Amino acid sequence: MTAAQGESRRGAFLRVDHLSMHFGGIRALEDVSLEVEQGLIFGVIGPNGAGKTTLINLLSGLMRPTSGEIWFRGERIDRLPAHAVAARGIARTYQNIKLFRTLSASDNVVIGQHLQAHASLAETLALAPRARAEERELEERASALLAQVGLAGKGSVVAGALSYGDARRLEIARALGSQPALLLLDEPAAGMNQAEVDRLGDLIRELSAAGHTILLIEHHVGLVMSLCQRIAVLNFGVKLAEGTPAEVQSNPAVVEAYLGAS
Amino acid sequence: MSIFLQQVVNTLFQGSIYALFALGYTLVFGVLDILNLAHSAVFMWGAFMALLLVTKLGLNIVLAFVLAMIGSGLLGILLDRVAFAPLRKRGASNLAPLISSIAMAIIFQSAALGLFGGLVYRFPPGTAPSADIGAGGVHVDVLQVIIFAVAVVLMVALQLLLQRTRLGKSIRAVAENQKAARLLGIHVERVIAITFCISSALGGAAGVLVGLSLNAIAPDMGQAIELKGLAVIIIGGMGSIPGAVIAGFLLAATEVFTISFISSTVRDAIAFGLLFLVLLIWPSGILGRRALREA
Amino acid sequence: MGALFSFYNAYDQLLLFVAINALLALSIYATLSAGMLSLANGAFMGIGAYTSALLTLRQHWPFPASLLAGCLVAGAIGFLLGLPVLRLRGVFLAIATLGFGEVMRIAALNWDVTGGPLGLPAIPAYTQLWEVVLALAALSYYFVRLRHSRAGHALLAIREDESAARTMGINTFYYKNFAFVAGALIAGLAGGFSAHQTHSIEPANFTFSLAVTILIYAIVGGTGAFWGPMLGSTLLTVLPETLRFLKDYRGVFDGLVLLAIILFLPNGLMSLFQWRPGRAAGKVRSAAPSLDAVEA
Repeated sequence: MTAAQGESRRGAFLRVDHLSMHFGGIRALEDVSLEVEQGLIFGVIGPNGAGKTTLINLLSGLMRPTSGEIWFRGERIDRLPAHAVAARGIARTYQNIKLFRTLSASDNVVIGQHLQAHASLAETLALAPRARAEERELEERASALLAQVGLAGKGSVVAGALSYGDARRLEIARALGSQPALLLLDEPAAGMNQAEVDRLGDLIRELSAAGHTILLIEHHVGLVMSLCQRIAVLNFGVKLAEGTPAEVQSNPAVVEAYLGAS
Repeated sequence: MSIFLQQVVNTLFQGSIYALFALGYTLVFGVLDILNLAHSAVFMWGAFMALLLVTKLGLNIVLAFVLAMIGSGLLGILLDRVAFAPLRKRGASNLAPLISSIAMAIIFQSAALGLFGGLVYRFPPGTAPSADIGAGGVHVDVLQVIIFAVAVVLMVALQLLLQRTRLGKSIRAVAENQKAARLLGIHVERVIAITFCISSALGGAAGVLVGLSLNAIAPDMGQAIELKGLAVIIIGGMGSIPGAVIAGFLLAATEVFTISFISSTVRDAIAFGLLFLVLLIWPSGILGRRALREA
Repeated sequence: MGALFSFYNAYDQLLLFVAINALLALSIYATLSAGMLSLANGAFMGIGAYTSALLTLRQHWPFPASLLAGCLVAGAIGFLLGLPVLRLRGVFLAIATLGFGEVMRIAALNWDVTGGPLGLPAIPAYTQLWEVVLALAALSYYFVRLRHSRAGHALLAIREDESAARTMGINTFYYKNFAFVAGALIAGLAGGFSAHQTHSIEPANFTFSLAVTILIYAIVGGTGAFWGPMLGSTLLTVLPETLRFLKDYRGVFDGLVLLAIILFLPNGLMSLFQWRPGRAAGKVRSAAPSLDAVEA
C-alpha cells in the first residue's frame, strides 16, 4: 500500500477496499471496492442475489468479511462488533423490517436512541432528576423523529400493527435515533406504491439536506436514478460499474446485465 | 488385557443404547428444529407396554418388543397431533413446542405413576435369555449381545430408510425446507407425523431394551437417560443421525474408561463435562449444524 | 386484625413457600425477559442455599451475612458460566444450563463439604416472612424501574430482535450477561432463604425438575411483565393444597394445565388482564412481549 493509498483511506468518509465474502461455496461478494463521499446519497443497485444485502451486513458489522477492508472516517471498522460500528456513527434499516413488533412505535424509536442515553441504571433506580429528565427527552425526541418521517401521532401504535409503508418509515425513524453520520437503507421502497415512493424520496432528500450521508440499496431503479448522486451496480457479487446516474445508465455492461432485462 | 476387553464390551453395549435413544431426539430436531422432551416418557412407556404384554397377555418377549415399538410409535403420533401440530398451525416460535413437550412428558409420566405407583417392576424370570458367553476373564451376557444387535439393526434400518426409500427422501426434504417440500408435492404434515412415529418407536424400543438389561421398570426410568441423551445429541451435532450414533459410543467409551480412574458416582457428570467441552470449543458438535447465534 | 394473625399462624409456612417461589419466578423472569431460556436457576438456588447454610452452620455467620454471601457466590458463578454459554442459541443455551445444573448437583452429591447425599441437616430456621416479602418488594421496584432505564430498553430490544439491537449500538453480550447474573443473584437469594426455612437441604432438592418447575411458573403466569411469573408461582404453589384428592394423578392435572396454557393462552394467565392488541394502553407503553419472542 502506497503512502497515497494510505492517505486516501484515512481521508475518505467511507471506503470499501477489495471486499470479498464467501460462505462455503458461495461467493456473495467478490473484490468489491467503492468510496462514498460525505454528504452524498450513494445508491447500490443490482438484481436479486447480487450481494447488496451482504454488503450492508458487512458495513454494519453483522458479518466479518472473508477478505478486504472497510474504512470509515479514518478508522478501520471491518473487524469491529456490530454495536461498536453503530457507536462510530453508522445506522441501518432492514429489508425484512426488523422492528420490535410488540413494542409501540415510540418505544422503538426511544430504544433506537440507546447511544444517546447516558443516565446510569443506578440513577434510574434512585429516581434521580437527571434520569427522569432524560426519559422525557428521549420520548420527546422520539416524537420529533416520528413526525419527521411522517408518523406523527402514531407513537402509541404497536409496531406490529403498522401498515407496511408506515413500518418502513418507522425503521428509518429508529435508525435516526442514534444520530448517525452514515445511514444505510436496505430496500426501503420495497412494496410501496408510487405515491409512497415519492414521499420516501422526499424524506431521503430532507435527511441528506440535514447532513446525513446515505447509502441506499434499492431495487426501484427510478428512485435511485432520481435521488442518488453516485451509483454502484453489483451483479453476482461483483461491481459492474460506478458513476453518476447518467454514466451508469449508459454503461453497456450494466444495460446488458440489469437494466436491459427490466 | 482382559480388563481392556471388558471395557470395550461394556462400551459397545452401553453406547448402542445411548445411540438408539438419542436417535429419536435428533431425528425430530433435524426435521422440525424442536427438542421433544417427552421422548424419555415414551421410552418409559415402551418398557411398560412390553412388560404388560408379557405379564398380562403372556406374549413372548420378541412379539412384545415389536408390539411395544408399534405402541410407542402411536404415542408419537398422538404427541404430534395433540401437542405440536396446533402450534405449527399458529406459527409459534420454538419455545412453545418445547413447553408443550414438557407438558406431555408430565402427563405421560404422571399417568404411569398413577397407574403403576412408585414401585419397580421386573420381567418374569426366563423372559429373556441370560448366560455368560464370555471368555478369558471377560464377562459377556448373551442378553447384552442380543440388545446390542437389536440396537444396531434398528440404527441401520433407520439409515437405510432415510437414504434409500422415497419416504426417507421426503423426510430429508422436509428437514431441509418445509415450504419447498410442500411445493414439490410432499404431504408435509403426514411426513412430520411419520417422523414422530419413527422417533418414538425407537425411543420405546430403547426403553424395552434397557428395561430388559436392568430388569427394572419404573415410571421414573426415563430421567437418567434423558439428560444423557441430550448430551449425546449436542456432542454428535443436533440433527445428525450419524453424529448421534458416534457420540453415543463416544460418551459410553468416555464413561467406561474414566470410571477406572475416578469414582463411579461421578460417572453421570462425565456426560455433561463432555457436553460443555464440546459446546465451548465446537458448538456445532461433531457433525451438526450451527449452535451459535448469527455473527 | 385478630383474624389476620390467626390466618398467618395457620399458614405461615405456606406463605413462606409462596414468597420464596415468587423470588424464583423473578429469577427466571430476569433471563426470559431478555429472550434467554436459562434452566440453571435450580442450580443457582442450590448454590445460594449451600453457601449460606454452610456459613451459618460451620462459620456461625449471622443470617444476613450468610444470606448475602450465598447470593453473591451464586452471582459470581453465574457470571463465569455466562461468559462461555451466552453465545449459544436458544435450545443450546437451555441444554447447557441444564447440564450445568446437573454437574452442580452431582458435585454436591459427591463432596463431603456439602454433606454428600444426605446434605446439610439442622439448619436453624432464621427466615421470616417479612424478610422475603421485603426482598420481593425491592425487586419488584427494581423491575418496574428497569423497564424505564437504558438497560431495560436494551434487554427488551435483545428479546425482540438481537441483530437489530446490535446495530443500534447495544452491546448485547454485556446486557445478556447482566440479566443472567441478575437471575443468578435472585435465585441464590431464594436459596439462602429456603435453606433457613426448610431446616435441611440435600442435592435432591435441586434437580432439573426444579428448573423445569420454575420455567412452568413463568409460562403459566406469563412473561410479559415481572408480575406474570409471580402470578404463576403463587397459583401453582397454592393450588396443590386444594388438589390433594387427585393423589398420584396430580401430575396429570398439572400437565394438562400447562398444555392448555401453551395451546390456548400462550402469553400466560396475565394476558387475561392485558392490553388490547393494536392500540397500546397508557402513554408510551406497549403490548406485553409475547412468548413467541423468546428464542428456543
